[in-house]
Amino acid sequence: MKRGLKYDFSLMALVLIPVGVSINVVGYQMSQILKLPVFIDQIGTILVSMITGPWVGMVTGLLGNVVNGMIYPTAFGYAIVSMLVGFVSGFLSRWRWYSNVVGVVIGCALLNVVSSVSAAVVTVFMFGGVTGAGTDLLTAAFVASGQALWDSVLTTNVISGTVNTIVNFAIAWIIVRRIPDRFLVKLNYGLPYIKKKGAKING
Amino acid sequence: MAEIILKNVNYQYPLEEKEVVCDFTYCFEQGKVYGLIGENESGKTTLCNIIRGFIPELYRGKLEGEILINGRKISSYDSGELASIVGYSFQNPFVQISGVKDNVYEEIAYGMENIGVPREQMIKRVDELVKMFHLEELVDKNPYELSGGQKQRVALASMIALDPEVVIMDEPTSQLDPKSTEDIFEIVNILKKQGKTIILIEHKIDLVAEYCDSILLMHQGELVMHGDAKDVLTDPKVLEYGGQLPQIVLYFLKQGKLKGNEIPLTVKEAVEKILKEAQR
Amino acid sequence: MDSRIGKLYPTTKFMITLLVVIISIFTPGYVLQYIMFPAFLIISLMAGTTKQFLNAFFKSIFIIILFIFAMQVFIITNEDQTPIWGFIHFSQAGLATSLSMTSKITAIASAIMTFFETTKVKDITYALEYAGTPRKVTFLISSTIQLIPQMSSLSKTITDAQKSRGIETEGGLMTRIKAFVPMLGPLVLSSIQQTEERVLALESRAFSAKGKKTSIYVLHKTGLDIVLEVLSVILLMGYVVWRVM
Repeated sequence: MKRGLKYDFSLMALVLIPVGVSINVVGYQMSQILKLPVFIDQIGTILVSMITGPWVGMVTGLLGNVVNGMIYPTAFGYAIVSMLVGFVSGFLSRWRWYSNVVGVVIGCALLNVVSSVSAAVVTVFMFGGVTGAGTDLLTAAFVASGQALWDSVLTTNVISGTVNTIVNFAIAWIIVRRIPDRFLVKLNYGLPYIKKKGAKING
Repeated sequence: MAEIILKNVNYQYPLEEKEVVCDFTYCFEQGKVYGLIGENESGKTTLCNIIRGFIPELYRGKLEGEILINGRKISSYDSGELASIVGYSFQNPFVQISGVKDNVYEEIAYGMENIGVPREQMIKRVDELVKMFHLEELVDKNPYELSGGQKQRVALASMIALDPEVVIMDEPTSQLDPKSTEDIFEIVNILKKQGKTIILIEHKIDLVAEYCDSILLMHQGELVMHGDAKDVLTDPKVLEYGGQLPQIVLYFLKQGKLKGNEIPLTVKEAVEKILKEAQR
Repeated sequence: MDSRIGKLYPTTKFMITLLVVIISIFTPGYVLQYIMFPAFLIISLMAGTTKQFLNAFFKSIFIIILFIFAMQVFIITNEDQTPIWGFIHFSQAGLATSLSMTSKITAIASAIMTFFETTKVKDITYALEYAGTPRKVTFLISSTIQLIPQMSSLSKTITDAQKSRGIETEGGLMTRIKAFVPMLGPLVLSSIQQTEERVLALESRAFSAKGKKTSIYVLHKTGLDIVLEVLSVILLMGYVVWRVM
């Protein structure tokens, strides 16, 4: 099914992008307030990608990092990670992988790999293998035990990423299920999530 | 000159089985104030969405029938074009601000910016509107930080900035306090004097009686009654269809002495009538 | 933002920033790059944005710099390492890599941070539009910048409301996790549903209209802007020539 960019970037989708970015920010702030040990800053990107597709999801991820980067420029470097998460997640949604348990599990694993690898690339080549966060200790441990820097960073990312990806995805998933049908109908990618069985879309 | 013509319009929302608007046929003329009344879910907002072109473009669903604006089929209009012909104001003031501008002055100008109005003209128009809507103290404030009533006034000003010939107002005062409601209806009056066509959805029937020339009553998606305010709003059949009648009318109907359109619609009219009777 | 620097046209500042970034990346050594930090600190002083500059720098960049040194010098295995204790050793090569990397990061970050700290987003979007960026793009930027603080304060309100309804926010991990969805859920759902009406509101403002847009807000380039821009271009060309030779 050929779909142009114009189809994806309907006004509805466009207006959802700032909402997605804000959800990323608020999710992160809330996780800080609750002192949760996970990085919950991708809920918005994943959520938006689920209902508006890969390209809009990608822009959401990008914009999130751009806005963050205006204060902390390191976010600019990691923009590619958010973009890929939004992009891949959007395709997974489009191909209806999220409709069954197996698809969800594989999808999450895929997202984790994608974000871990891309983040590792940025971390190693731009920032010498460090991120300034606590996980660097884990990376250091791996390096000290003899592993190469690249492998260490990647391993750290995959490990910490598993929990992060699952939590981010789960919350986005729970929320998408709660979006009323009449809203989903207006979105080009909302169909898989409409709850009404055998609903006929008129017109 | 006929403005808006609807012929046999039917509409069904996606996912719904019932039609929300059934076989609607009417002709809205220029310069009149129309009151669109009826109980909730009777199809009033849907009808206005159709006139404004939001249906079917944004809502999708199945739309049948003919809709002509100024003689042209509504589908032949660009959505941007329609914005300067048919203005729309919503119930909920909190989502009517663009979210793009950080002060009220530019917020009002936003619509004009989008259609490319030259800067000097925009400045003139915004200054006019600020005066008309009493927004002087709010000009530098962030639209997000306004109260509901203030947001509604700013939103109306922003919509009027595009100088539409037709203005649709969907329950503009439902979320407002009495003072703000008064302000809004003052604006309705000003627009009426400017010769605009106004379609007003309102439940505050006493205000409808005061300001509207013609009434349309909708019931379960159908247009069941229509005509001059004087005729429709004095007819007890309105109540059968789930509509309301002004307090004064109910009083006089109960009294039983006056019939038909001798009954005054507003307190003001009643007082005049009583005074005239007293003079005789 | 009202300082002389704040008032400069965004493109001017952008070109200067770009110049610094390019020079920082392609100049060997590290002294020039490190000097950028005090240089931009001085610029921040002139622009009145010192507090933000130092705040942001020490919260993010400084920590990264320290960690890079730690990692590259002491932990990563290089050929020339001399053991100190256990797995910690000292590596000259690592030191060189660290200096090179951290100096570049310092310079680039300082330039970028200063740019955004001295330029209003409104001005950036104006300059972008003037340069031909489509309205939809600047819409995304403006809308997001405005929406985030709104959502933030809204989330605080909802958090307080939920707390008063008995949702526990302190205590064991499970309790805190269970608090998350009821706190975030209503906010997300209501903002998603408001999207529908916001779309209609934007359509009412002729958002989808085709054709040239105008702006009631204006920004002019001053003589100083033009001088600085020309200087930047000359410096850049000179630099390129010098490096190539």
